[in-house]
Order: sequence, then C-alpha cells, then structure tokens
Amino acid sequence: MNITKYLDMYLEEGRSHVATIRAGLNTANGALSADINELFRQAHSLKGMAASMGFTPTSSLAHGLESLFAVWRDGATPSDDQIKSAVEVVDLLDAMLDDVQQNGNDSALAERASLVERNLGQGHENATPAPSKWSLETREEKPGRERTSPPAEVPGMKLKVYVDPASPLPAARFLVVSKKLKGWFGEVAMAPDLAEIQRGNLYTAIFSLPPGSKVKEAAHAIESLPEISRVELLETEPVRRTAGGKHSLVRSVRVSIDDLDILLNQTGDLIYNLNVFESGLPPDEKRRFRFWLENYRSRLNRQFEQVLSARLVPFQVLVDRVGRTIRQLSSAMAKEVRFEYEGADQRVDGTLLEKLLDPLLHLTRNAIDHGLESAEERASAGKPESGLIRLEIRPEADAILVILSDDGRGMDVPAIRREAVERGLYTQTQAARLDEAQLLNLLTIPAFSTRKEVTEVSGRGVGLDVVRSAVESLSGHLNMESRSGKGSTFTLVIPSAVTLTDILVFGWEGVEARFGIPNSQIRHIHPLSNHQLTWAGEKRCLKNGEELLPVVPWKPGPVGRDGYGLEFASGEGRRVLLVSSVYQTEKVMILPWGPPLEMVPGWMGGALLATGDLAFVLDARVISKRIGEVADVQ
Amino acid sequence: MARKVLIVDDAMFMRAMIRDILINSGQWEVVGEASNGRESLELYRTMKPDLVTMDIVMPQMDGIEATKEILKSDPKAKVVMCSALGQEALVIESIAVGAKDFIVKPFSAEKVLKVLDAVVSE
Repeated sequence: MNITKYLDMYLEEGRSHVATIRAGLNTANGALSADINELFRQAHSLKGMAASMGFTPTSSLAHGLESLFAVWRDGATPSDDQIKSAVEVVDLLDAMLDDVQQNGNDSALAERASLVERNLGQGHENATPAPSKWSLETREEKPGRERTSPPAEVPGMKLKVYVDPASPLPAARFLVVSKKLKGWFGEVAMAPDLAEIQRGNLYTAIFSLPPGSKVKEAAHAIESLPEISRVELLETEPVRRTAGGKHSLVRSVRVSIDDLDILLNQTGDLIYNLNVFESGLPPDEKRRFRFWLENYRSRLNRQFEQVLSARLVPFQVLVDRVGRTIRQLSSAMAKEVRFEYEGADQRVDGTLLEKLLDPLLHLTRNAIDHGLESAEERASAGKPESGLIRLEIRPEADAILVILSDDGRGMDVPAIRREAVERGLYTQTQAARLDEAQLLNLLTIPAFSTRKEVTEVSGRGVGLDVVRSAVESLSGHLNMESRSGKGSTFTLVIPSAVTLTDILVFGWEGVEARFGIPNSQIRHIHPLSNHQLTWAGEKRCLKNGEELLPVVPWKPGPVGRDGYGLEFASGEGRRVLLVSSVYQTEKVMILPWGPPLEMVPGWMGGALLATGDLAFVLDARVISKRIGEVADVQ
Repeated sequence: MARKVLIVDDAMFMRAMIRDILINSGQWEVVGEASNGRESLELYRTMKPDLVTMDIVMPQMDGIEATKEILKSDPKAKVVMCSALGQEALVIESIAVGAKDFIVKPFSAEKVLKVLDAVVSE
C-alpha cells in the first residue's frame, strides 16, 4: 500500500483526533468536557488509522488510551491521576505525529510509548491489559466493546464500494448492498456503519468479507447493481474514513489555503472595483443609487468576512502546543507550573500562527528555565509553590496582542546594566542613565546574556533576539516588562494585515503622494481655520480651547490656514499632525511593505485607493514617537 | 416475455407515470394498481405479480406495513419502494423489513427499469 498518498490525511485527521481528546480531558467542575463515548470513538479512530498506516507504536498507544476510556465508559469514575496519565499519552501521541511528519515513521518514540502505555495499563481493574507489542493478527477484541462490527484488523478481503454520487439515498443503497452480501456470505461488516453513512451522507463504504469468500464474484455482482459506480478489491488495510470523528450535522470539506487566499484576494478586488465604480459616478447618480451601492458593498464585505473566517485558525492550536511544552519542561526541570490562557478561541491568520510558534516556545522555555524559581525559593518568597505562566491573546483595532507572562523572579535589570558596561556597550555613566525599558531592550541584542551558563533547555544566551526578529518579520514589535521578584511580561504586538481597515486619507500641498492613518487612531480633526497655532517654549502647539496640543514636527509640505490638525493619542499623550488636505475615509486592505521599507517602524503598509492612487499608511503613534526623538536630538 | 407488476401508490398521477414507464419498455405487464396498503395486500394475493412497486406514505396502511404483510404471506415477494426525497430513514426501514430495493422520485425511466430489472432477475 502506498502510504505517502494517505500521509497528509493521516496527519491532519490524527491531529484533529488528538486535539479533540485533549480538549475533552479538560475537567470543568470535576467532570470531563466531552462525552466519554466521543473520547472512546476518537481514540478508536486514531488507533485504526495508525494501524492502517503501519505505525504500530502509535496504534498500540492509542489502543491503551482507548482501553482506559472503555473503563470510564463502563462506569468507572476517572481519577485525577488517570486523567493526568491520559493527558501525558495525548501529548506523546502528538509528538509521535510530529515524528511521522518529520521522519515518515514513529519508531523513534516507540520505546517511550510502550513505557507510558504500560503505566497506563496499571490500575485498571477490568481493562484488557494492553501488551507492549500489539500485532494485527493475534489481537482479540473483547466482545461488546465496539459499537461497529469487526474492526479493520480482522484478516480477510475487503470490498470498497462507491455509490453513484447522483444517488439521492446512499445509505439506503449501502443497506441493499449489505443485505445482498449477507445473503451470500453470512455476516458481513460495513465500515463506516449505517448510522454514520446516514449522518454524513457518505458515498463510500468498505465491506469486510469472511476469509475464503468468493470475493471476485461478489465484486462483479455488486458492481452491476443499480447506483453502484465502482467496486474495489482491497488486499490490505484500507484507510479508515470516519466522518471526521465529529458526529455532528456539520459537514466540512478540505480546501487548500492557497485557494482560500485566491478567493480572499478576489473578494478584495471586487470591493476595490466597487469603490472605483462608485467614485466614477456623477454625484446625482451616486445619490440615486446610494442604497443599492451600500447594499452591494455590505454583501461584499460580508463575503470577505466569511472567507476570512475560513482562512483563520483558532489560537487554541498554539495554546495547545505551548501547553504541551510547559508540561514537558515542568517535568524535565522538576518545577511545578500552572498554565492559564485566555482568548484561545480568537481566530488568527494561519501563517501568522506558524511564525509565532517558535518565538512563543522560546519565551516559554526562558520563563520556566530562568524566570520561575525553585519551589523552595518561591515558598520563602511567599509565592505559591507552583509557578504560573499565562498566555493571552487580545485583539485590538489594528493589531493582535499575544501576551506571555510569568510570576517568577523577573529580569535582573541591574545585572543587565552591569553586563552592558562589561561588554563595553556603554560607559558607567551612560549605563546609569538608561531606563528599564532601554535595558530590557538590550536583551534582544544577539548573544547578550546575563546568565553565564548555557543550559540545555534555553541554549546560549536568553535568545530574545530571535524572538524580536520573528515578531518584526510580521511587521510587529516586542514589548517587555519586568518587575523584580514579581515576574516578567512579554507582549508581541502583531498588526493584523489581512483585514479591511478604515483609513483617513490626507496629503500635503506640493506632495503628490497620498497618506493614510487608521481611523481608529484619529481622535479629532481640527480645521486650522478656527484653531490657532502657537508656541509653548520651543514646542509648536495647537490651541484647542484651553489646552495646548503638541504638534508633531513633521511637514513634508506647507500647511496654511486651510489645513487641518489631525489629533491622535500616542504614548506621550495627545499629538497633532498638520496636513494640507484631508481627502476621504476609505475601507482598504493595508498590505505590509516588503524590504527595505518594512524595516522602518511606523510605516504600516500601502493601500490602493478607489482613485487608483497608492496611499502610504502610517502608524501615527510610532511616527510621532520617532520624530519626537529626532527632534530632541536636534 | 413480460413480467407482471403491481403498482401501489395513493397518487393517481404517480401510478400513471410508473405505468407508462413500464409499459413503454415492452418488458412489463401491469396487472394491478392499488391506492393504499390494504388494497395492495388483496391485489397481491389475487394477481400474484412478479414484483411490486410500493409507495411509502399512504393512507389506511403505509408502504412499510404493507411490505411486511406481503412478505408474511409470501416470503419470496419482491417489493421495490418508491420514495420521495428526504425519506431515507423510511427507506432504510423498509429495506430492513424486507424490501429488495428502492427508487426515488422524481423517476427517471432508465433508473426505474434498471432497478426493477435487477430485482426481478435475482
């Protein structure tokens, strides 16, 4: 059997099963979060798939898990220890899937798997003891355990029957076939079972015939039946196709991410075309058709949102991975760690998720290795013995915040200061003037480290340079906070590019280019015709009633009394940007710049306007901060 | 040689349609038409057709009941269910009870003939 063909399917469905089981093992109010029958089915499906692919260690381990679930299903109450063991097994199964993905097989973890499985097997009174070697031929299933008839490992021949896709009642068709086969061969097993075929409206099923059957004749006979399009004779184990393991009314289809991206772009183009069309209409036509145009636009936006949500992946995937790492490290370093998370059901661009994985795992390793103290240290500091790691995903107007924090010892700021001097980066006096944020930033310089030893876990240095560059490759930035003795917080700010943003389009006289700032950042637009500009010391300010709002000292072109002051909030307070003309607000897709422009902070990206112009979209807060710095230096 | 068929359906329109399909094929002779399950039992007994086409939802006695009864009197009876779309569960029940096959409305002459042929030549 050609397993490479099925490898992708195996990995995708395997991961889905693992994720479902893991979620189901979460206890809420002392009870499992999923029906035990569901957990059993998931483990069972995984076992079957792995066996079909020849991944015996995985299959064996899944069988152990299945047996445990069977014990629970038969009435035993899951103990905390058992649940903990089950979670361990799930993590290991996940790792074995990784192994298969990397190396094409699961043999590397086979020994570990059989050890874990043996531990799992102890402590069941009525469970069938799971042997460490599980072979296809000799395994005996306990009768009455399974809901479906003989599992895939029974030797014999199999017929894969395809019902004509035009058939309106495939389940009934399969039943006819099944009865016919039973008439010839006695007991015949069908997989998936009738109920599943009905639920999922499936058109393929596999019939297991007893050994020695006149299979070829049967195949021909079935093939000539009405509404049967094809019959295949299977020599070896087929891939078990269950209805995705989800017994729900929701059917799903696999679509490639590339196809979704094309759909997304096309929808974006449709919106853009509509904007162009609308802008080309004479004003009275625009007014006449405004409801129709609005209607059309809102439908397109809704379509865009729909495709977008298909494109986005729940953050839970990342959360699970971090959780697994925490559990591994917690036992490897003999530190008890609690893991809390929030916002896991946020949906995020899948490619973004991939890029965030390594930085987050790195930060997690750092937190457990360096951040969290030993149990004794914590106890003497009055902290709970188990350390806390918290992962939060918080969406903001134009960005997503991924916040990883721990309640450990915080980062040793004085040590950083000393190290900076020792490495010759600053003199004593210079170093003394650096504030905490600047010192913490030094940690992101490659090879800068305050830990003298290299530990196996974190490698050389604290490695925050890796984290920062990963974040910046996503056009984001990294914020670090530390409170000595209390803990550290890392915030990854990632602008969400795959979305439509309202921007305010403006420009300067004599400057051909158009500029934009996200609407959400603009607090107010002050016409200069009735607002005065004045000086407060050396700073130019805009008079707004009684208050003076500092003006950002950046003017690509002259701004007269017919100009505007765009007020926004920055880290330092409210600021005003003076511009000659304000054109319109538009809903656009901000496309991040490629190199080298992407390296300039504050230049969010470009957007195609309805007029066909390209607008340079700026992050007002960042611009104001940087320009302020430059101005100070001057 | 024409095979004998009994058509059971409470809608005259449906009976006419099936009748046309079967007669036009030249291979079937319609020996009776019943408009409910109870009638079909009588006609089956007297006409002894080679095959019965049975509608499912009918007044007085539905198709599943009628199929059961016919099979009781003649275990070798060949009954083909005629169902409307969306009645999969009922069709499955009928087959479980002993119907040999099924056709789904709206009928295509080709499909109907193929199914009936297959059943009657078993």
